[in-house]
Formats: sequence, structure tokens, C-alpha cells
Amino acid sequence: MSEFLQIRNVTMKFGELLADKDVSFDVPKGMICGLIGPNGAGKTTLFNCIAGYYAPTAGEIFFEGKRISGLPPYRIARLGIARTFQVVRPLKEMSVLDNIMVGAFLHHASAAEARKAAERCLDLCFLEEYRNKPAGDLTIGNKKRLEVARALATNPKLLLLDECVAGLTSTEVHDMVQVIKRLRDEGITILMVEHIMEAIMPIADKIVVLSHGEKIAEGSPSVVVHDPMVITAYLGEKFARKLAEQKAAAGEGGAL
Amino acid sequence: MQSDSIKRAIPWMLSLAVLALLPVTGLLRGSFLSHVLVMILLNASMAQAWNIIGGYAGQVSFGHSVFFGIGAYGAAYAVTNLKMTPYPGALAGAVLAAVLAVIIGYPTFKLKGHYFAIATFAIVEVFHRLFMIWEDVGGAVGLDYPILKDGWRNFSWSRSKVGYFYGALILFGIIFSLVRALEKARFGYYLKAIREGQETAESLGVDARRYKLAAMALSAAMAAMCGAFFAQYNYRVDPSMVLSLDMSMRFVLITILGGIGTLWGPLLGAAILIPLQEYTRAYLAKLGPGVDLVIFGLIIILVMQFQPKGIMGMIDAARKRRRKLAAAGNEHEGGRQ
Amino acid sequence: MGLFLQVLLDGLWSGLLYGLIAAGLSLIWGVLDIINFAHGEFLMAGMYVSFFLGFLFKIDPLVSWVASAAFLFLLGVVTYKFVVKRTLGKAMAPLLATFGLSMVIKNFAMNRFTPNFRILSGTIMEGKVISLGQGAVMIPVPNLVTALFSLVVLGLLYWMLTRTRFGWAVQATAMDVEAARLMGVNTERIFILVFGIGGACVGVAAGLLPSYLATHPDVGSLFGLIAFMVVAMGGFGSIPGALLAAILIGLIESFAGFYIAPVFKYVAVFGVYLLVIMIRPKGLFGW
Repeated sequence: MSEFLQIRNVTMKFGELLADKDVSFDVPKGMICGLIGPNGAGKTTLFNCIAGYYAPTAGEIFFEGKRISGLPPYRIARLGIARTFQVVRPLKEMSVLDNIMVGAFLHHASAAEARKAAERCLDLCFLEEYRNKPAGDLTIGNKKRLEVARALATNPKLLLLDECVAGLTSTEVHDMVQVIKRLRDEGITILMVEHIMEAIMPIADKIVVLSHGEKIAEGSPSVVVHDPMVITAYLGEKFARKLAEQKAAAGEGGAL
Repeated sequence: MQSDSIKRAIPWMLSLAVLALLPVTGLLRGSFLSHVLVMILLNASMAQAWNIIGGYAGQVSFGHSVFFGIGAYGAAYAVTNLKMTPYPGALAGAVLAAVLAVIIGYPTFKLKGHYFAIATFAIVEVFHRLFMIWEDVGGAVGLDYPILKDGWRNFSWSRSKVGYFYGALILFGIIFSLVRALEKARFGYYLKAIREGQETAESLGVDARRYKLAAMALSAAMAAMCGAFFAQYNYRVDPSMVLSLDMSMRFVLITILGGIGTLWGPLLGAAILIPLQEYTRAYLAKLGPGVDLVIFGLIIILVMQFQPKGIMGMIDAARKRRRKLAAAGNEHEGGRQ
Repeated sequence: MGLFLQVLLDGLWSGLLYGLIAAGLSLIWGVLDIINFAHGEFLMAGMYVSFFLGFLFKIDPLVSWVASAAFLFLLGVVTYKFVVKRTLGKAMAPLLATFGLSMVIKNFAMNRFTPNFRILSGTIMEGKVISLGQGAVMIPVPNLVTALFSLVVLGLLYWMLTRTRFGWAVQATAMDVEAARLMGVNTERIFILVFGIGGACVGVAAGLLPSYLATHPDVGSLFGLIAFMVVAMGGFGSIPGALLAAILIGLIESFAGFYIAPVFKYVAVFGVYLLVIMIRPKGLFGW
């Protein structure tokens, strides 16, 4: 199989509600791929299908050539797909290090080895100083990085990040972007759902745009952002105008 | 690393050694005190067994008297009806309890919150009533032990309680060291992760249901061992004694009052509650029946009002306060310099 | 046919009694999301009130249910204020605190009133039976009256919850305490009243029961347990669900007791409950 992650004609229905309709795209190995779209576009639902929380109503998902749609979440995690949650879910009464160790135990049977692996993820996500704090006591920015560190500790090939910068301050966003870049440099493929364009555009290699459950565009950020369908359906006319103004102001060295 | 783990083992090794030497000192000559000590160790063992599933895995089961009862009946049946030593009966009881735990756990772990709690109440009632009408194990009358020869072979001592004391110490030692090992291993981490967030645990590759079932089976087998000990110590079993909601509550209460999900909580809880209960029962007897249980109930209410995390919670809070004070002190000094 | 009808009706009376006992528990569970473990002991305490009013002052249970309900309203309020309030939102704490309370009430009764069974004689309804079809079907009057009380109380409770301003405030509080508070609902008052009303409902049953049931310190245990089953089987705080579950449990008890063996009736009740909850984990009317 040539492709790493393949989404094939995935449809997800909740009763009458159609969350995703016939969505197909690929995520090639080693890339940062962004999944964007307005609220209720079906991004998180699609994510939950990939991570095994829902079985798609129709369609299939393949990972390294193996069909994964319909498998339970823990089996998918064992195949090398880790995820973070949009609403952070720290294991509150456990320390930050212990949280990460839970992830690390996936590939390390002994506590000593798991601790060593966890320490590395701790460093990678700028969490050293909170090592022994209960995870429930962290600030939101640190909690979001803890989500990433914990997922990372499972040593994934593919990392699914669900709105990992939503609700963060600009310095926290900056930290997170640094972390994501580091991960890509480690060779981890990343699929991220994002709302904040500024966070995703500069680092993504590929963008997929969903609207009302359907894929309306796919390609490099610069292509997608100029796609008229995307501009009207997702960005809205106001943002499109702002973008044009920004471009004019910045001259030829366009911000995006 | 090696010396570190040895250092960490010192407190409990030392406590075990002190406890093991107690009978030699002659302090236990009074049979009431040795009875209290045996009860402390038995109840601490029960609480520690429950702690595996209730504390670490966070599945608050009110059904553990079923497992306890099966172990008790296992030992008693071997002794009274089969005229054997209690050991094969206890072992069979433990295995049966573990199997039953899986059969019970498989469907009930789907239930959330109060629904799970009430389902475990119902399971206790079903078993209680089945044993009440099961003639082979004596029905409502239960099983009475014959007079047995003293010694380890029969696990029975009539003249002094020292034998039971060592028996209880071994029982507690086994369960305690099991939980201690588990706490530091992958198994323990996974159980805690499931308690703190099952979906999160699953996203990290944890087969939550399998781990919960394993924890339940282990916990049930240990509870059955405690039941077997109880039968030997008590010299009789009947459904209302071992297979009741009150017995189930004992597992939960001691753990919670001591400190749920902590290594030392069960022992602390038992060490404080059992003497309190035994002595109030002995000394307040003149006030009529039930006064000890009224006091016990009041203590539960009070602890739940002020420190639902139990004695370990109090210790933690005190430690935090001291650290905060120390930190404030340091800052103050720093300011002066 | 007569026998079948007899068994059916007996089950129905029991079921309606269970419904009346469980109504208050259901209300409290629905609004505060806690199990009042002392519910069965509330019933027992109310029965003693009614028994002693009858025994000492010759007041009939048909009258003294009012006193019993009032007493349990107060006990409910006191329980909320001094036992439950501080434990709200702390995992198992409310359940264990109320378990502690159940121990206190039960053993206090044991200590004060001895474990003896106390039977109230000379009540108006004592031994009265309506006989249909030349004695083919017998309807004991006290059970029938209790069943009618049950329907009236459950009806009133349902009406109050769905048709009155107070009921809407209760429902808003049940759904989201914070939101209700922001909307101007005095949620603390709602909690107190819910506990009081929950107590009063079981108080009605407790007041009537001495007409046909002996009073003793352990009388509440089984009723309490059955009330838990009723509420869990009916589904989270649903009054119609509780009524349906209660009747179902009454019928199972009656039919299993008659057609299998009396000793099996509660095994059947708890067994069926376990089956139902496996199929519908949140009860018949739960969501």
C-alpha cells in the first residue's frame, strides 16, 4: 500500500443527523495534515471514527494498508495511532509524569523503562518543571501539552491532535506549535483538527476542508486558502476581505 | 535503584517484623487484645483486597461479601462435610470467586454510577437468599465446625489466639505485598488510569474491560481467602453472617475511612475502626444492644462530612499545610536577608 | 382463573406499595443524583411513629399517616442539612454518609424499642377483606387502601413536577444546578424541599403500614433494597418509570412466590432486575 492513512467514503450518521458524508482523503507519511472547517462540519466526528470511538455508518479507513474502521480504540492505539482530546482529559489525581507513563507502558513492560520513555516526552513537551504535580492542577496550556506528551509516549506513527491550540494564549500557542514541529522532525505523521487558522497554516503540509460533513477542498495551504469554495463556505466573506487587505499591506511577502 | 527500593520497603518490613514479634513479648496473653489484633489484620486484609477493584480501579463494588462468603463456605464445607483440611476448600473458594467475579463483572461494568452500586446490592441479595435455601450447605442455619485438633494442619487453635494471629499476619502480608507490587507496575498504573478516565486510558492502548475484569478476579480471590480465614476463626458460617450487605459494606467502609486507593489506607482504617468497635461493644454493652453500631454510624457520617478521603486524606492535608508553612517561613527569611 | 387473578391482584397491591415507598427515593435521586441509603430506615422510623400513635393514643393509621409523613418530612430536611449537604459532589460520600445514618437509625431503634415485632391491633381496617365471586378472589382492604394512596401520591407528585412553577424549578435544578441558580432558582431551598417531600412520600406508606404489617427495627431493610431496585429499574428520577418498575416487581414477586416457591420470590425479583438492567443499563425510562 502506498498510502499511510486512507479515509475512503466515510459516512457517519447519528439517527437522522448526517455528520460526515462520503468523505475521502489520504494522509501521506511524515506530513502535518490539517483538517479544518466551520463548527459542526464533522471534523471531530471523523476524528472519532479514525480513533475508533465510532464505527462509521459506511465507508472504510485504512492504516498502513490495514482496515481499522470498526476496531475498538485500544486496538487502534496499539497499531500506532494516538490521539488527544479536544476537551482535555488529564488523569487528575495522577502526577504529570505518571500520566505520561500510562502512555509509555504500551511499549515498555517495566516501570523503569516506561519512566525513562516518559521523561523524554516530558522534556519534548516542555513539562519538566511540573513533573510531580497532580495533572488536575495544571493550567489549560500545560494540560493541552500533557495531552500531547501522553499520546506521544505511546510511540505513535500517527498522532491525531484535536483542537490542541483552541483556548490558549498566544505564548501557549507558540509553545504548542514548537512542540508540533519537533514531533514532525521526529518523523511522526500528524493529523490535526484546528479552528485557529493562524496556528495551522504555517506548519501544515496539507489541508483538508470539511463543510456540512462534506469535503470541499484538499491541497496545500496556499492553494486551499485561495479556493473560492473554501473562502465562501468556511472563511466567510469578512475573513476573505481581511485576508486581501493583509496581503495588500504586506506587499509581495504574503503572510500565508 | 536497588538500594532505593530496599529503602522504600523498610517501613512495611519493619512493621511486619514488629507485628510478628508481638506474641513473643507476652503482650498478647490477654485473649481480648489478641482477638482485636486478629480482627484488625483480617479487616485490613479484606479492605486491601477490595481496594484493588474499588480503590485503584475505581469500581465501587458493594458485592464483595459474595466472594467473601464463597471463600468462607469453601473452607467450612471442606472441614465439616468433606472432613478435609480447610486448605483445598479455601483454594477452591478463591478460584470460584475469581471466576464468578468475571461472570458478574462482564455485564455489570457496563453500568454507570449508582446503577452499578445497586446492581451489586442485588447480586448480594440473590446469593444470600440462594444460600439460605441451599440445604447442602446448611441453609439458614449454616455450617458448624466440629472440635478439631489444634495446629496449622487444621488451621484451628482453641487454647490461644497466637496461631490465628500469625495466620492473619500471613494473609495480610500476602495481600499487602501483592497490592504494593501492583501499585508500581503497569497493572496498577493502568487501573488508576481507568479510574481517572476510561476513555483516556483506552486511547492509550489500554483494554479497559480486560484490566477491570482481571482486577475484579484478583480482588475476589483475595476476598475469598479472607472469608476462609474468617470461617476458621469464627468456627461457623451462615448466610446472614458472611453473605450480607452489612459484610459488603465493611469492605468499603474500612477502605474509605482509611484512605481509598492508597497502600496504607486499609491497614490504618482497620487499625482505628476495629479497636473502636470492639471496645465500644465491650464497654458500652450495659447501654443495651446496638450502641456500638450507632457510634460507628456517627463516625462514618462525620468522616464523610469533613474528610471523605479518610485518614490518608487527613495525613496528606496535614503534610501540605506543613509544607506551605515551611515555604512561607523560607520566603520570610529570604526577605529579611 | 380465580387463582391467577388473585395472584395478579396480590402482586398489584405489593407493586403499588413499592411504588409509594420508592417515589421519594426516585425524586431525591433525580434531583440530587444521590442514593439515600437510609431510605428503608426512614420507612421504619415512620412506622414506629404510626405504631406508637396507635398503641399509646389509639389513633388509627388512617389518620396517623399524616403525622408520620410530617415526621419524615422533618427527618428528610434534617438529613439533608446535617448528613448530605456537605458530601454533595464527592463521589461515594453521600451514599456512605447515608449508610452511616441508616446504621444510626436502625440500631437506635434496636436499642430503644428492642428487636421485637410489634403488631398494632384494633385498627379500623384490621382483617377487613372484600370478597369477590363467592370468595374466589379476596381483596384485603388495608392493601387496597394503601394502593389507592400510592396512586394519589404518585399522581400528585407527577402533577407537581410537571405542572407547577415549583416543579419546573425542581426540574431545572435536576438538569443543571448552575444554570438553575443563574435563572434565579433558589437551588438550596429546592434541595431541602426535595429531601423533605421525598421523606413525606415514604412517610405516607410508613403511616399506613402498621395496619397490616408488624413494626420492627429491621423492617426497612428489604423495603429499602426493593426501593433501590424500583428506582434503578425505572430509570433516573422518572416517576412513571418507578411506578411501572414497582408494579413489575410486585407482580414478579407474587407470581414467583406462587408458581415457583415462596422462598424464590426475592431471588426472582432481584434476578429479573439484574436482567433488565443488563439490557437497559439506565432503566426502563432512563436516558
